[in-house]
Amino acid sequence: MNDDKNQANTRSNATMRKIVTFRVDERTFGIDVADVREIKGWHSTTPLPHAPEHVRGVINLRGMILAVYDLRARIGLGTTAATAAHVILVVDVKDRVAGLLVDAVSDIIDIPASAVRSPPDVAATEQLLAGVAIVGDEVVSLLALDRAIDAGLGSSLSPSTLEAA
Amino acid sequence: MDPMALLRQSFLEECDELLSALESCLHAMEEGAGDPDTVNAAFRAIHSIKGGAGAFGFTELVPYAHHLEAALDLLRSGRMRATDAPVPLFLRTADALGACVAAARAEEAAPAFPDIIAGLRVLAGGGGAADQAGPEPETPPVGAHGHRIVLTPRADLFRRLVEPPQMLQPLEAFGEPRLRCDLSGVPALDALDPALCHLRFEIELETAALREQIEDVLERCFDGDEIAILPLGAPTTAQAGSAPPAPPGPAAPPSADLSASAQPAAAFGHGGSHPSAAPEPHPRSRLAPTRTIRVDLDRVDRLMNLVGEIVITQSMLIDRSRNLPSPHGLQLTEGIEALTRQTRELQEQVMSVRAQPVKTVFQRMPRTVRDLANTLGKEARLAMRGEDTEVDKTIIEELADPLTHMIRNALDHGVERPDERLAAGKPAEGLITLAAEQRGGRIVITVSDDGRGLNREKLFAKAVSRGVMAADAKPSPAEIDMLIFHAGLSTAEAVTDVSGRGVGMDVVKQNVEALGGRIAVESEPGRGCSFALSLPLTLAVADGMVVRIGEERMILPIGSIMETLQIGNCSPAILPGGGEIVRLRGEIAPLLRLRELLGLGAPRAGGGPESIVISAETDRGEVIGIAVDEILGQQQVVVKSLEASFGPVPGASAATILGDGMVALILDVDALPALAQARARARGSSPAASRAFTINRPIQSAA
Repeated sequence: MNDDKNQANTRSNATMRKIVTFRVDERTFGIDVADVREIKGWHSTTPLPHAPEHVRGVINLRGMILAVYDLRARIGLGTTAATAAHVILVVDVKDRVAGLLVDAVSDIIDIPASAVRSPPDVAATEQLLAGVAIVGDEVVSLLALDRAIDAGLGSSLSPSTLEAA
Repeated sequence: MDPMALLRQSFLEECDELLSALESCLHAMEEGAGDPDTVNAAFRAIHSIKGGAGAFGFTELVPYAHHLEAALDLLRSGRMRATDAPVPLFLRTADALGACVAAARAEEAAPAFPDIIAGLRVLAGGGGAADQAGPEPETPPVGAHGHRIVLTPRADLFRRLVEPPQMLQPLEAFGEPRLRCDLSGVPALDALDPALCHLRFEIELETAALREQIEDVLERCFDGDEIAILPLGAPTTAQAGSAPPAPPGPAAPPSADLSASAQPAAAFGHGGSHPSAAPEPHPRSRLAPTRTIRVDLDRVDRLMNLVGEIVITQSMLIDRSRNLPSPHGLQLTEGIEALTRQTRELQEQVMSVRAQPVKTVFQRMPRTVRDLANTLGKEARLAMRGEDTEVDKTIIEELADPLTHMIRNALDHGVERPDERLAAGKPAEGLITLAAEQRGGRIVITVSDDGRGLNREKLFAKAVSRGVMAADAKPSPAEIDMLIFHAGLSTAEAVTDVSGRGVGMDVVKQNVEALGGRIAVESEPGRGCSFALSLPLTLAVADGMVVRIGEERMILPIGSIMETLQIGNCSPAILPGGGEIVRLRGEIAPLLRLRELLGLGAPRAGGGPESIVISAETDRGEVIGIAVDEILGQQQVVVKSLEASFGPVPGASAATILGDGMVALILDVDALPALAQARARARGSSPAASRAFTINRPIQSAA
C-alpha cells in the first residue's frame, strides 16, 4: 500500500513529498509525513517471548497495545541502548499501527518526487528502502515501512524460529 | 439521507425483529402451543409488518403479510383449529418475507414465491369467510371507518427538526388525511417565540387501517409528543367541551407550510389556552413511553473501552496510594476501595448492555432440527432451557455455528431412526436438549441427546489406525470420548455411517476455544451424549493473578489456577532429559519455568528465585506447575488483543495494561505445555523427557 503510494509519487514528477527525517547511528532515514501518527519519547517496553532482536516489545499507547521495532537492530547494527533521548515514531503500516525506535527525529522536508531514486542494490539492508534522495549534501534513505516493520511477526515467531532460539 | 429513507431503514430493522418474533410464535404453535396468546402474538407481528410495509411503500411485502394475516385470523377467530394449521407453510411465508426484507435492504428486486401466496389463498378460501385478495379488504376489529388523530406536539417540535407536513405524509398511505390545525395555543404576536411550536393538529383519516398501525407510523415521527387516536365520529373533548371557542390567533408562520391536502386552518373549540394542558381525550390513547432504545454497538464498545481505561487508572491509583505515608494513604485507600466497588458495578452494567439473551441464537435451532429430521427421516424434538441467560454479544455471534454443528451432529449421529429407537425401548421421537445457565463467571451451554451415544469401539479403532493411540493402550471410556475432539477422528465416518455434514467436532472445539471457552463431552452408550460448552461471560475483562518473573510481570487467568505452593513443598526433580517435574496434589506434573520458557533471560542455577509454583490445569485436563519468582496479587484486567497489533505470540493469549501503564502479557496456560515441548525438542532432549510434558495422567514410574 505504502509502496504503491511511493511508486505513484515517483511517477508524477511534479509532486513534492513531505518527508519526516530521522537518524539512526550516522544515517538519515525518511518516511512520508502522512504515515506518521505521532512522535513520542522512549518508553520501556514489555518484551515478547522469543521475538526477533528488532522487536523491542510492546507498549501502552493510550490504551492501545503498540509493538515497537528497533530500526537500528533491523538494519543490523545491534540493539539500541535506548535512553530518554530516543524517539518512537508511531506509524501506520498497512492496517496496523506500530512504533519505530530511532535515535532522533531531525526535520520535516519537502523533496520533489523526481529527486527520489530507486535504492542501489548493494546490500540486504537496502531491501528495507523504497528509495534514496539526495538533499543538499545528505543522503536520505526512504524507508519501505511495510518491509522495515515486517508483517511476518507470526512467521518470525513460528515454531521453527522458536526451536532454533 | 432524507427522513423518509431513514424511516424506511428503521422499518426494515424492525421487520427483522418482528419476523423473528413471528418465527418463535410459529415454532411454539408447531410444538402444540396453539393458545390464543401465541396466535395473537404472531398476528400482531405480521400485522405490524403489513402496516409498515404499506406505509413505507414496500409493496412486495404486502401480499405475503396480508395472506398470512388472513390465515392467522382464521385461527384467531376459531374458524380454523390450531391442530389444522399448516405451520410449515406459515414458516415458509415468514422466510419469504425475510427474503423480501433482505432484498429491499439491498435495494434489489424482491424474489417471488407464487406458490406460497397460492397456498395461503387456498387456505383462506377453504377456511370460509376470509377474504380473497386486495390490499386492505379485511374488516378490522376496531376503527371501522377511520380515525381522528389529535396530535399535540411538545413546544420544541421545530427544534427537533420535525416538519409536520413531511412527517404526516406517511399517513397518506392509509387514506386521504383531512388536516386541521388548531391555532388557539398561539400567543399574541408580541409574545410569540417563533422557534416554539404552539400548534395542535387534528387529522381525520378515513381508512380501514388499525389504530396500532397509525400509532406506529406517528410514533416514529413524533416521539414524545402527545398523540390521541379516536374512532372517527367519536366526539373529541374539544368539541364536547363547554368553553367558548378561542378567538382565532394571528396566522403563525408554520401554518403556511401545511401540506396541500390540509384544509384551511381553522380554530376549533378548546378548553385550555395551552396545548399541553389539553385533557387527554382517552386514557389509553396516549402512547406508552418507549422502554427501549436502539444504540449503535460501536458506542457501547467505546463505553466498554472507557470502562477498561478506568479500571487501569484505578489500579494505578491503588499502586500509588500504597506508597503514601500512613494517615493520608489510609484515607485514600478507603476512597479507592469504594471506587473499586463502583467501577466493578459500572463495568457489570456496561457489560449487561452488551449482553444479549442466548435466545437470539437458540431460536434458530428448532428450524435446524425440524429440517434436518425431515431430511434424515428421523423424528426429533428440540427442548430448550435457559434461553434468557445473557452473554456478551460478541460471544453470541460466534456461538451460532458451533451450536448448529453440534445439534446437527446430535441428530445425525446421536439420535437413531424411529424403528431402532422403538426396538431399543425408547420413544420413536428423539429428544435433543439445548440448555444454557450461568455458573459463576461463566455460561454453560449443553447440547444433549437421548440417542445411541458415542461409538467408543469405532473411535478407538480409528484412533489406533491414525496412530493417535497405541493399539495396546487401555484408555478409560472418558479418554476415548475425548477423541471426538481430535482432528481427523471426529468426522462423520468415525462415529456413524451417516455421512454428509462432515463438520468435525475439532472445528467446534477450536471455535469455542477461540472464545476463551472449553468443551467437554459425556456419553453413555445407548442412553445419549452430552456436550457442555463453558464460556466466559465477556471477552473484555478477566480476573487474573499478577506474577513476577525477573523484571517482567505477567497475568495468569484465575480460572485455570488450582493452587500455589512453595517449590520446596512439591519435591521438584529433574528427569534425565532435562525436563523437570514436581509433585502436585500427589500427582506428578511437568514444571515449566517461565523465565526459560518465554526466553526472559537465562535460567538461574538451582532455581533460586523461582520459588513459587502455581499449579494450573489446562483445558485438556493436564496439570502443570508454573514456576515464578513472586505473586504480586490478584486483579481485574482488561483484555487487549495482541493479535491485532502484533500477531500471535506463543504462550500469550492477550495483553493487558497494568496500573503503572506498563503492558503485561496474559499467559495462555493451555498453550504452555506445547511450547515447553517445542523448547524441549529444540534443546535436543530425549523423547522420553519431552513426553513427560504431554501425558495427561500421572506418571507412576517417574518418581
